[in-house]
Amino acid sequence: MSTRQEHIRNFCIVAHIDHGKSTLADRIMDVTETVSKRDQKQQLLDSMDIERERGITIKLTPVKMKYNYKGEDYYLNLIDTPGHVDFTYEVSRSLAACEGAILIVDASQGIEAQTLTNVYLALDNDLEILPVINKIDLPSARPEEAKQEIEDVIGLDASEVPMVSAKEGINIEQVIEQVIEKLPHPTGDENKPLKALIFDSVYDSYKGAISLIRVVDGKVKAGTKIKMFATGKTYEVTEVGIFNPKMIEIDELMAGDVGYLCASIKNVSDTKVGDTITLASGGITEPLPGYKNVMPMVYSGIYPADGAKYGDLKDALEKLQLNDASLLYEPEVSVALGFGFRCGFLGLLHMEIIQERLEREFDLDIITTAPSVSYHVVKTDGSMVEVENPTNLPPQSEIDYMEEPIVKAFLYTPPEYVGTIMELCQDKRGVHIDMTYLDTTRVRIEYEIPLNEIVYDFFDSLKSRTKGYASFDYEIAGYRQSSLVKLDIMLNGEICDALSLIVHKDKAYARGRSIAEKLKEVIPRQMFEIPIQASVGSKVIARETVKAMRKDVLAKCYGGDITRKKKLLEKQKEGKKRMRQVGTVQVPSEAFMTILKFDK
Amino acid sequence: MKELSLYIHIPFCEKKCDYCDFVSAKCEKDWIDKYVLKLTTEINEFDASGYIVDSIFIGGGTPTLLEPKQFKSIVDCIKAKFKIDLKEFTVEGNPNSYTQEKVDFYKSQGVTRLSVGVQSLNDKVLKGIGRIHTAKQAEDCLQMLCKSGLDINCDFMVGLPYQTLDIVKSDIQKIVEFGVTSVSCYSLILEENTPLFNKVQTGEIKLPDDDIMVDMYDIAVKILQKSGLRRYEISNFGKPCYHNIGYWRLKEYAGFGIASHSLINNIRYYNTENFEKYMSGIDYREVEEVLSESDLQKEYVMLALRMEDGILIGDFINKFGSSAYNKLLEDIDKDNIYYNITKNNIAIKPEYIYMSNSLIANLI
Repeated sequence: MSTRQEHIRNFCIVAHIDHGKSTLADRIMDVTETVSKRDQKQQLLDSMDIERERGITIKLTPVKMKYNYKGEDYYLNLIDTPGHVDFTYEVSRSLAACEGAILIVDASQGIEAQTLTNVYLALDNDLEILPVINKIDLPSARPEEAKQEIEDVIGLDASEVPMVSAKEGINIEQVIEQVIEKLPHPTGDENKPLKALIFDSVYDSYKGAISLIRVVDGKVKAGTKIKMFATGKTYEVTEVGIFNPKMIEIDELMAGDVGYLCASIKNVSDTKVGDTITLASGGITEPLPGYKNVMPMVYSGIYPADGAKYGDLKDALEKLQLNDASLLYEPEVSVALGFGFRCGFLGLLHMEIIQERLEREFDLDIITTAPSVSYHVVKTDGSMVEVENPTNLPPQSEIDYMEEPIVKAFLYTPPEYVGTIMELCQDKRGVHIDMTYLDTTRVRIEYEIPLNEIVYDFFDSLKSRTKGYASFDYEIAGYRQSSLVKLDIMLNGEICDALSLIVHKDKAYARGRSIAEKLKEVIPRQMFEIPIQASVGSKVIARETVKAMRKDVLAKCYGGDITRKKKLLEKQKEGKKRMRQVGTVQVPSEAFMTILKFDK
Repeated sequence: MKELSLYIHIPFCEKKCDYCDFVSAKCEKDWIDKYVLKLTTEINEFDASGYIVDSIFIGGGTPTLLEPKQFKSIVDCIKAKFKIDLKEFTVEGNPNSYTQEKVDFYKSQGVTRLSVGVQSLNDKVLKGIGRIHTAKQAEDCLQMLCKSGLDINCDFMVGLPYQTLDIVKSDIQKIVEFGVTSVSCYSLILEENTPLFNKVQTGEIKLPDDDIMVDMYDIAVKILQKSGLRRYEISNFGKPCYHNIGYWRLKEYAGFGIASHSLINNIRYYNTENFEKYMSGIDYREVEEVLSESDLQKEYVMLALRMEDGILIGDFINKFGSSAYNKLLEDIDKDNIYYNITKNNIAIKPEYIYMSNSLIANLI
């Protein structure tokens, strides 16, 4: 054991979304003077616009800080973690790079869904947990109750818990000192062969894919020949360094260190999160535990609103994937929407973020189809296929049975909303598992709910039913057999593939009716009457009609009106370009989004 | 010699109607005198060489508010300025400002066609849109005008507040029975910044919904056609107005007066809508829009397809060439079930005329 490692602390901060994780990270950097005041932006670690706007962290950023405590210099490696359930796997890998975690509990909101999820994750990774109560400056703060919750619900000793306000910079030193006092230091062996964990990867257009690593044993520097366990590929390291939080090249990373490594790796998918790096020859034989290939849970079709922009969309997805190995996409052709992509996401937030980035960073107008999940379809011949796109569902006659993914959902709420939440969960085909009163103001409810109900409108419904007071988290619990049917929407007698959905048979009628009603609102009148029908198999279960257009011509048109009229018609023509042709029917882009909107 | 149509704008009204967003000015004698003087100046500044005037349209506003002397000075000015061989001379007016004396005077001035803004023959409806005349006045006026021997056009609107299908039916029936030679039938277009717009916004007044409006239009069309008034243009019935057809066939026209427009040598001119600016006589011609070949072609197609005769194939090829015509045919072919195509004409089938906008939008 070297004295060097005794002066290193590798830790992360975990919290429920919006409990002040990034703000506390910023303050810790202030106090350690890691960032000059000039460079400071609020929430420095959240580098994407979307992250800063939404107040969430998507990509991880580690930072190395120096702090003098009792006359000795300590190096603190803070690894920021994504703040959302969709990125649970990434969180778990960054936790695996640490020895300890600061757990933030909001003084006014107490323990929330992700607080516990993160605690369990931290405990799974054998981390020492250091609780901190934040936002004590708020008028609604009730720090003593939060303290009690930490003891009762999590079972941690909260007697010395720092009471801080990250926003106001209160008591930050106490947090840093407890990190040094209470969190263990790394205990790797510098003389053993290299063993390092990849906890994230980012893409740089000059350096290629960069691995963010925690060195467990051994050392690595430029020139070291390394091997990735998951792919078996070997590379020669071109550069190693640390973050402060900018990238700074250094000579060598050693056991206990956190930093980055470049090795002319072309693609982020070759430096997989969770993978182990060792020496190309004479390396270790057993990788670090816990690696898994993350699989998307939510799928949707993404199409350019203007069919001619297919190439642009493809380029944009390629670029996004460079930085985000968990985004999957493959080309797909829809009769209604033309050429596009079926994309797989870790979860709903991940999906939203990708869609938003396509629109903002790449200035693309896109059409997104309703999110779907991956179903297991067991055919009558005994074979099993996975279906992510409702259009690809085999004919009913060939299906023996189907299975759908189920999640374990944890809901945290003030007691007055228990009734409405249970009603919502029942309505979403939920199975009640457990309910615990955490204290007089908070209840934890556990349900098993099919994921396809969650991807529809669960978040929005929960928010509106509980005025935003309830929080929610879930984990995949496996697959379960279910009576599912394909709901088709026909416009003027033709099935519009992009509007097809897989739903539970008991939900088909209500969903079909609501979609038909919404479509009636958004499809403009055309030259003929358009029947909108929702059907399951050959059975029509809902019908609406868009009446034929009649009025659009009766204004006068003399000398001065001519230019105005011409411009109106040109505009009308432009509008038509943005429409999709489904059989004989012109369908505006927003129609495809309409079915995503939730029912009040 | 090129044929030219003249449009003279008289922006004065006793009271502006609630749906109207046109420029209009206070109706005082000395104001009108000054305006008429300005008009004659503008007419005199026009380069009339090479033109022969074949139609005049004095519109408004309310041209019937002009006193005979004022009216005569305009006509005299035109006569002095232009070579004239009139096929049509129209004056527009309101039911309460037509008198027998005025009609006789117009005849003496060579007027051949009188247009009257009736809009409705129901008092409640008239009041709802802020018209200053009563149904009785309108009926008396129609009766008088129809005895004049001149062509009489009646403007009528559907989709008005308080209007019902039955009201439209009986109004149109009456108008036809008076013996008018043509009817212009429009649906109300709600323009922003009008009193009616505001009243609709606040909910004080409710307009019939689109479906009812279309039913009203349909019933009006049916009665008009049954009585022998042919739908020669999408919203015009009976004896065709030579002057308006000029607009729709992109004939050259010169507009005089505030907010008037002209089309000369493929350039569309706009006069200012600002009264002071117009009266100052400086820079009153505000916008010049040079129409490209493609603009002209778009306008031609758009306007022609609103007419019963549709696109005159020979005329089109003459103006735009045969390759443009072939391209047009190709585009039309996609919607060919909606068209009647003969040796000389391409027109939208009468039963589909109500969706002409969509069809035209596919072509321009």
